[in-house]
Amino acid sequence: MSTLERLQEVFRDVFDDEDIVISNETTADDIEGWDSLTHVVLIVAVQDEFDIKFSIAETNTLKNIGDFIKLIDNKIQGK
Amino acid sequence: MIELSTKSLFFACLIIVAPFLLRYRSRLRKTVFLALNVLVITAASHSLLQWVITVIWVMLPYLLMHFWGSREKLKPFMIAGIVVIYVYLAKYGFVFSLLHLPEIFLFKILGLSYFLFREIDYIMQYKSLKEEGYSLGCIDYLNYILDFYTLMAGPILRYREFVDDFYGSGEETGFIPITKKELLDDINRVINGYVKVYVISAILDSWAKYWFDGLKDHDGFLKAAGAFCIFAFFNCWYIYFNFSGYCDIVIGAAGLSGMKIHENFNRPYMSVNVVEFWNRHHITLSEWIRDYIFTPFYKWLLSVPLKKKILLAQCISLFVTFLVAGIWHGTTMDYVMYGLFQGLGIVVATLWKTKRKKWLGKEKNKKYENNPVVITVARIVTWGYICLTFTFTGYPVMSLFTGR
Repeated sequence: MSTLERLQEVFRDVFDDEDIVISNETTADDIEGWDSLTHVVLIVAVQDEFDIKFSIAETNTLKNIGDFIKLIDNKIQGK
Repeated sequence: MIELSTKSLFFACLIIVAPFLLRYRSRLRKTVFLALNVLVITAASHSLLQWVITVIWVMLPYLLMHFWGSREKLKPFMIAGIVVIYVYLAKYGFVFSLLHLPEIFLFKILGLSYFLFREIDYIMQYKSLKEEGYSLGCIDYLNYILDFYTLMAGPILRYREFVDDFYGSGEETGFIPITKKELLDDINRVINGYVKVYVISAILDSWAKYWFDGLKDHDGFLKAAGAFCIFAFFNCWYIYFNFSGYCDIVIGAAGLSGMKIHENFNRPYMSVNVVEFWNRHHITLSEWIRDYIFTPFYKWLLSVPLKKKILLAQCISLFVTFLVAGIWHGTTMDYVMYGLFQGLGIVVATLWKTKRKKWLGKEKNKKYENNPVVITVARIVTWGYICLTFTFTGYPVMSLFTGR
């Protein structure tokens, strides 16, 4: 399973929506209910799924899902 | 809150002069900005002792991080120390009486609570800022902490954003370009801000005070409750016009000096619940407490004590976060109540949204949320709740209710 696919499963779980489809270009504006509170819930869920840790600065500067995947992959490689 | 005084006139003169000194990007710009910041701090100090204590309080995080910045394990102790000093300098009445603390300093430092936010941001971000190659020199640090535009009442700055904005790409020199429209927009915003603060909010404040002072004269519950609601109505509009007006002044004035300051308001009284309200009111505070109180606490709750109990962890974290934010707003028990009610409002809104989604299902919930009647009722209820909670800020409402 690719990082994008695993991330999509996390999104579906957090947003309780099995129809969510994400791509590298997806942003917070494209997903209904992705507010600052859900963002934190999402980050915690991603940390659990990939067994990695993010700093506040890292997750606050992400522009889209593509950036998020790059960050996740870098963290996994750095483990 | 902002009142017309010698200090306000001094500030008005400063924001007129500053663009002439700061609109030009050169090596001297940061030194000129520092000189203006030190001038403001000096003008705001009533004695040499106050000035010295302010300088020590401001320099403490810089020195701590300069010498022990690489020791991550010390961070919690540094922050705890900074918070303890803040609580003492801010003179939290209930802490002083509970611990029988002696009051050594009689003065109050200007912008103390905003210093605290910036100092914690600097300590928390130090490691990543260093890794990313950000300048962490003394002048940059002092300009960030002392930034006179946002010293008194925000918006809350972050070190990364401040430095990025102050230096631009780092290669640009000379006059920072501005179009005629941008210039007029900034000037218009400053004027609007002054009208909001010194005309509209001043009138609303006097009406709120009038109705609050008259509360004890009303006999009968209904009459008193009616008068209290009128007071709450004027008070909440006073808070909005005063605070957003101040933000308009500083955002416009900083824009004239070639600096960008984040927006702090987005029509807060149009919110459909208390969660949305905090995403629209004092936005930079909401973001700060989200990053430095809610997120670490929520992550901790989910990591051990409440693993997999997401909703419960969310509610506890939100309640604690907004309780702390409420206490930060002021030093009396009224602000503790304010925090409690904000926390309660946020928890109820979160629970209602989550449970409703489960009960109604995705499609019906969407229809419910988009129903104009529901939106209107939700806005009125939210605004009414905020109105009532705002009465705890600035007025001794607890004393009124308890009769003390």
